[in-house]
Amino acid sequence: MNELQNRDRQGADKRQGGQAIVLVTLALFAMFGLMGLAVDLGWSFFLQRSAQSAADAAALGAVQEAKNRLGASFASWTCPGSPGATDAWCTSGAAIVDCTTVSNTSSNLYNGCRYAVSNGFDHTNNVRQTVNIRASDSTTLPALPATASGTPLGVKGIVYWVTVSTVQTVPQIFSSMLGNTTGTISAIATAAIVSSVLPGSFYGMNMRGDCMGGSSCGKDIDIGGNTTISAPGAIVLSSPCTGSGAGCAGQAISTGGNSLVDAKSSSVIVNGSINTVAGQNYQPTPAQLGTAKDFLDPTRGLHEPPIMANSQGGGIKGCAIPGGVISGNVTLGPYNYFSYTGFSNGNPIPDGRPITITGNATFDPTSTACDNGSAGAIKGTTGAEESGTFKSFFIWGGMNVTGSVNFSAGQFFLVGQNPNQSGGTVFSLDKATVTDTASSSSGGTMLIFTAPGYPGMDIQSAVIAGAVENGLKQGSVDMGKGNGTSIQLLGVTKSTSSNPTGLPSDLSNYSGVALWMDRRNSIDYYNPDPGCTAAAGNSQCGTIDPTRSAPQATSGEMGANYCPSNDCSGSAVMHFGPGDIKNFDVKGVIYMPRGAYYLAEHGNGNASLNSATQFIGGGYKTPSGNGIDLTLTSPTNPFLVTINALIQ
Amino acid sequence: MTTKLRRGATTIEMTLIGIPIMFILISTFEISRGMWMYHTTAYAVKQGVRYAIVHGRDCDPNQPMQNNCLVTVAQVENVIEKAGVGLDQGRTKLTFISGGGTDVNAATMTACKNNNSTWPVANGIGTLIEIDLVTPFYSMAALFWPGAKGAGAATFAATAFAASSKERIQF
Repeated sequence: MNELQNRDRQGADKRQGGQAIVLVTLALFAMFGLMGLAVDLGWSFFLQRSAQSAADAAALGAVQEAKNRLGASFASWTCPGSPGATDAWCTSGAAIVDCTTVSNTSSNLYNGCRYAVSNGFDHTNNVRQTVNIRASDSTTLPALPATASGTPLGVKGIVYWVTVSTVQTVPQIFSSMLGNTTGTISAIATAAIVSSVLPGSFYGMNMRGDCMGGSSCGKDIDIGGNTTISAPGAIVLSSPCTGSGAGCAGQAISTGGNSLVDAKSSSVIVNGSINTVAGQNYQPTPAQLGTAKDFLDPTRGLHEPPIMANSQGGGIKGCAIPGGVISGNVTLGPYNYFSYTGFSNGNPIPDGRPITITGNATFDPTSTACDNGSAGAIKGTTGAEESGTFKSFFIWGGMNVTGSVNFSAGQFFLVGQNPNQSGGTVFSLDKATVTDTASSSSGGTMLIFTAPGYPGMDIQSAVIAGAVENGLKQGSVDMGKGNGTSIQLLGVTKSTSSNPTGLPSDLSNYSGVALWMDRRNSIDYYNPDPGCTAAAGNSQCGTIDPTRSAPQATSGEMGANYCPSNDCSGSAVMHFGPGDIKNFDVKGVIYMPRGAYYLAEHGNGNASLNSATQFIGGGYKTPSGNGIDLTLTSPTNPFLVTINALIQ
Repeated sequence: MTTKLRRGATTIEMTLIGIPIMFILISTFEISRGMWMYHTTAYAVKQGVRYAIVHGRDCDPNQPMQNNCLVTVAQVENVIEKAGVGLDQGRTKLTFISGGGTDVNAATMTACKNNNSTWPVANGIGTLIEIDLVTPFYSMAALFWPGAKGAGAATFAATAFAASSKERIQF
């Protein structure tokens, strides 16, 4: 009995001892399951991030290389049939290709695959890792690029795209106990060369040593009184000036009196730091958010806008206006306009005067009229009628408007001013009304302020008997000499699918530009145009001084002849006021090169430039007491830049 | 008599051994579960932010390119939801910040599903955007610390996991 009891006791002990083992054993399954979640899933998450980084790097790397190869010539780029080392490569029919088969080292896709390797996806050595790549242009296969499940991304304006997907099988540690021996992680990324809206509303490009009218050196905004600059997009200021030092008369922003710089919901982005000091008003506080490239000319890489009329292969006909004065209601076709006095061998002699519009002039690209044939206006016999879809008009000697002028679709070249005749301006509005009947589908309107020597301009002057270009120089722009000037313009509009007939592709890189100041019209040494590194006579540059690194006005062309408020900088000035500008509506971009600047002064009380415009220029300056407010609204026709970006 | 005493002793033994075993087991479970939550939340917000940065300003159909890829708070939440398996949608709170401004302040995922306003609000290329996620973590480990801060009526103490991701708008 005792033995039996002992056995029982031993059995009970054993049973009870086994409970913990059973408990722990059963719990092990749950433990491994949970530890699988923690360890294996955590590891998978980590690998997924690596896979995403590799895919991002590969896609961006391939696209960056493509952009380097294509330069700025994307206008109507499509996948080449047999690409070389200077082309962007596409996968055949946008097939998805394994990187192990991308072996041609001259392909930019090979670059992309190498970026995947550098970021931990070594598809050449690691059998668990696969990198797939596909690339094409936007027109060949409009349904692509797409998400992994095939949904199009809904992005237009893509020149070239690369999609990379990375896949990796992950052996499981704890989860394998429950039967999952491997897991799969994947990531997809698409990068593209794509049109993007230039984000800022105001770009002040003046740097250290760049002055506005001999003062305000190193300042991008120098305002006073009650002037307010407000913009819904960023205000980008390039000057590194922080208050003192060579070439700096102060900080990048100087807000005297009660003036205010207000970037609304966006940022004031500055190159140098800004000391918040009493009397300086800005909202929000300026911050150094950008990198060096953000402070370069946003139009860098572009030549001066090409002349559409030159596609004729020769000059278009001249239209000689006696004394340059156009009165009455007239319609004007796309011709070379110039003022004349007297005749030589039966040909009108150009006299360098500006075209002065005192009546109502309508520029009409479809018209063949030269001042409606009114007394003395003579249409030339040499040269061609312009036949392109987007017409060019040339106004030699500049234009003064005291009446009203209506522009419509086309480019308008205001070519030079004679200092003895024009007082230094190539475009002057005095109690004038400027309207624009161009629409986005007709391509918009572009005014170019320039001088003889503009690339390709000599073909035009050659059709005029007599030296029309003699004595004409770069000039400034005067908006609103007397009270009551009204300006309404629509800048050129890039063709999109909704307006397929819009702008010629040659001008598609200049989307939004309403007013363009020739870059030679600045005394600054900077080169936004890569085509202008060659010596004088380079066809992209116009006639430049070969001793200078960039095309620019020769010393003295500007200053001595045009000094609003004794403001003689030597660079172009766009002068608003002092008359009351009752309406300012420029839907587009106003471009002036670095060094050239906006001077906004108002003689009597408040005035405002309230418009959906992007301002690019050296800087914005007002007199201390009577400036004009700049109230920019969200741009409806902005400048487009071509960027590389991840779009998926 | 002896047997009873011995049986009593094994009960005490089991109790003495069992408590630490339970402690170890529950701790292993809860740490594992916690790590899972930690990875999941971090991954989910990262996915959400990445989704937003590639659907930024240039996706706006009102911009001249007329792209059509702008996203809403609800769509970003959907990405987070898919990436964050097991998040308690009624209690997980999301904060959406763009350009320094708080656009959605600690709204539950359930609430975000119905938020069809476009995001990011401050929508410029290069603008910093951020998503913060806070999810409660009801841990059984709290059994061992009965005094730990409670979650109202719930027996288990709630701690919270917070995850945050911040990136610049790419496109």
